[in-house]
Amino acid sequence: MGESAIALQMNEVSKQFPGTLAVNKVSFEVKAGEVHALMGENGAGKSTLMKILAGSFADYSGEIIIGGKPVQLHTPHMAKEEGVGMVYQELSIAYNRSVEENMFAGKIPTKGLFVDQAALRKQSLESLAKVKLEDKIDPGTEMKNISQHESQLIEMAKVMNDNPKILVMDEPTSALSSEEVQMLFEIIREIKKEGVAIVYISHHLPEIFEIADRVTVLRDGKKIDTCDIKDVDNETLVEMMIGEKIDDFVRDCPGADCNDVILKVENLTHYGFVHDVSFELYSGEILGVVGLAGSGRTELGRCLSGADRVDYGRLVLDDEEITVKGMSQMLDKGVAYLSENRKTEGLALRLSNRNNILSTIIGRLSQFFFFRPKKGDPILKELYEKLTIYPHDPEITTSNLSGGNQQKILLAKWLSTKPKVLILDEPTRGVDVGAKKLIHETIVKLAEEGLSVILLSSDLPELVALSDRVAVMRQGHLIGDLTKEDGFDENKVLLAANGERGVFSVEY
Amino acid sequence: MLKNELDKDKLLGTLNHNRIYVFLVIVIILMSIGAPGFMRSSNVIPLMKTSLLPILVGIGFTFVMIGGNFDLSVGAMINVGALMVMGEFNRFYAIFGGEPAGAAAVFGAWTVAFLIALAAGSFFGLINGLLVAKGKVHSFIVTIGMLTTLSGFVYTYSKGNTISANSYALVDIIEKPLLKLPYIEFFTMRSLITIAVLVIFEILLVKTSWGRGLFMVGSNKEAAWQAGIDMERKIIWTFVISGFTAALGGILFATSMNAAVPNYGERGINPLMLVLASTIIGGTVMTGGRGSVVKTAVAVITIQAIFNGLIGMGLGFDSQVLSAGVLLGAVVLYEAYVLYKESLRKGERPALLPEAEKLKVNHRGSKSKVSGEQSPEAAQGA
Repeated sequence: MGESAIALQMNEVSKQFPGTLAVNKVSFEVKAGEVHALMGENGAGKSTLMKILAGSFADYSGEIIIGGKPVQLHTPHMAKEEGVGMVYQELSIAYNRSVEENMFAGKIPTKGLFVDQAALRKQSLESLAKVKLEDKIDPGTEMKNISQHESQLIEMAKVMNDNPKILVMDEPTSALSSEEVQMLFEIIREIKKEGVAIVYISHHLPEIFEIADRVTVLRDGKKIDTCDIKDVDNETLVEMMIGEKIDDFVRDCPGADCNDVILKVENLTHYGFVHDVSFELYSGEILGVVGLAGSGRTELGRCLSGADRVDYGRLVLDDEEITVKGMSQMLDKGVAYLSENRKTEGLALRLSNRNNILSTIIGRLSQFFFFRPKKGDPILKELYEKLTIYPHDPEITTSNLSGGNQQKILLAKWLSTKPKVLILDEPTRGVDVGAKKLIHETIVKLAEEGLSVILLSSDLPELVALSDRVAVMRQGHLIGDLTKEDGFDENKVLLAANGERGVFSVEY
Repeated sequence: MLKNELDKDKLLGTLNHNRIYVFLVIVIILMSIGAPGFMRSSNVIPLMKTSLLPILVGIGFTFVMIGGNFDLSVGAMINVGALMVMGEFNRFYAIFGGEPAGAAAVFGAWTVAFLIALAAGSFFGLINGLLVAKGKVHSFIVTIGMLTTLSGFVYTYSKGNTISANSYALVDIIEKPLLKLPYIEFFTMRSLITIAVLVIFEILLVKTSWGRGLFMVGSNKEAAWQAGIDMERKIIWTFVISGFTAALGGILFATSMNAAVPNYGERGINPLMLVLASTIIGGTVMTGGRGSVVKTAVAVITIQAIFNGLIGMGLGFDSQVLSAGVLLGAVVLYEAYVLYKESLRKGERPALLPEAEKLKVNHRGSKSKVSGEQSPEAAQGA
């Protein structure tokens, strides 16, 4: 295959979502037989760009050329026809069915009327051989008995069955151990030799340096640059991803004097999710928790709030020893958890704002089994003022509000419980810049009033701007923290989350 | 060690998939001990014969459930098949000349009546399917609506009366044992047709790419869609099949009695409940994606064996219903428990599992959670 044959070219491609230009005139090319890394922070437009390529949108603008031929990619089917293969982060697997049926869904070989079981078995083994699993996996095994790592490889084999010319992998290593990553890389190198163009999306810097030939960085929907991997190092890449300080909101003074420990956590463990996590949280402090996908960040929040089981560990809240039993108990004790997904876990969108906000304190507002909504009025009034929720009418159905105001309703819902510790999981995901700023200001104000906040966020500028201290999580462990005195910025935080060793040894 | 655990899981999984055979054997043993004469030919044959109707209905019901839906209208579909085959036979028998015309009229009229009754069942199934797949209405709502509508329809059709065929020729053929021997007597035209239909649909499910596609649709709609499987069409077909097999069950049942009533199943054990319980106990997953019509059939026989055995032990209708309920409840609880167990492990990091095992041992050693001892810092790196 020609060294320089261009497999995919995207010229000035744009995609508009209501309110934002998610991809803004991005030009991007991938050569046959190269691994091209696509990097950028959350919301930079990587996923949208790749979804355009996968045919998820019919209304993108710009030109896409595959193998020298201009193509229209308006449905997943069209994209597949043109030789685009996608391995998504969320695998689409029918867990009740066997490996072979999953791999050949929709194109099972038949002999006459019936399934040709022998041919199916043969083809599956050939396909599994491409990902070096032919000796390890019996194609008749049900998918639910297959490990995550192997499922990922099977998904890849399935995509490879269509002989794609372009293979897109979205964060393929987020759930893998380091040996498994090495195995995956070996397979990627094989596929690469066959002349397939590979687009590799990842946040993990060391992986990029190991596997990629070139790298393209996106930021705020625009392309920053494409470079040979040899020409860049960690620092330049991080700088390209983060760029100039766009977020002008900087928290200059740390909250109230951070001396009293409000929450002390020792060896908190949920087997298989988070192991031996110990930290202290001061009153009025904002503790940022950083970690890559799969590092156990969200799981930590869920354990602390009682949403998930705590298998072992010691928790002291406000000098009181607590055995975590469940969410309602932790709410009573004063720990509230704002979940990551507003629509599915956070809000009942069809209810009114009043009902959403007061839903956590129905018990407290009740007298002799009767709910007294009137008792909630002062609380509503206070929260509406504090959070400047618009429109100023608690009777409106929540689904009619903008994303930012919905997020504020969610915040209000947890604040109504008057927590001592507030855990925020991605508090500004999917809200516009203005609302984001307001939510940031609110969080700071709350901290100044003495509320302790644990901020779980993948939005680095947000994390750095708001936090007094940043704890770093990696593979289910909390490996240390960066304090204001140490001086942390986005680069340091990102490098710490990526590092192979301790927090401070960021160079490798 | 982990490997062994996986093997154990696999073994338990296989056992669970084939649980219905284990159930059947246990039931047979228990009943043989508790109810003398249970295994006698004179007891087994009626038991098997009462199973024939629910077995046929269970075929379509299982197809629908594998696709991830429910067809609650099967009870009414049975009556549609039963009444229409009788009513249409009488109509066409008269048209073809009645008794004077002899065997030709009987044969012609039954053929037409069979076709019309089967077409009616399939047609009502098609409407169910279209509303569920294209109209995106929940199958519970659609099929309960169909159940009510069809109940009204059969009462109108029969004017509330029992309909009997004006010729006994078919009953003699369809219910006549092929060989007059103990146990073998079970094999009549009706039971052979039932077995043949069962085998054909099991083959359709397991051996054809259509059936494999249906399993994909039921197991993960998203994955099936991405694989280019036309899931709407498959869902529609499952309802057509359900209408067809339920109507066929009604037709064969009515012809074997030479009579059809508009309120079959309203007293005694409701056929819908029997089929629902059998399908679930037989291992079809309620959310779709796994199931087998043969296993549903074995489950029907198992439940009938329990009913029959309980009567043999001198217990009544009440204990029959109770036992079916308890069995169904136990199976559903078990399935829910398995799902709960799986949900607990969702998102688990496999890379942490070896360490988790070590930690568990350590933690057990340290006895108390609140010992407050300063345990060594979390292992850093590898």
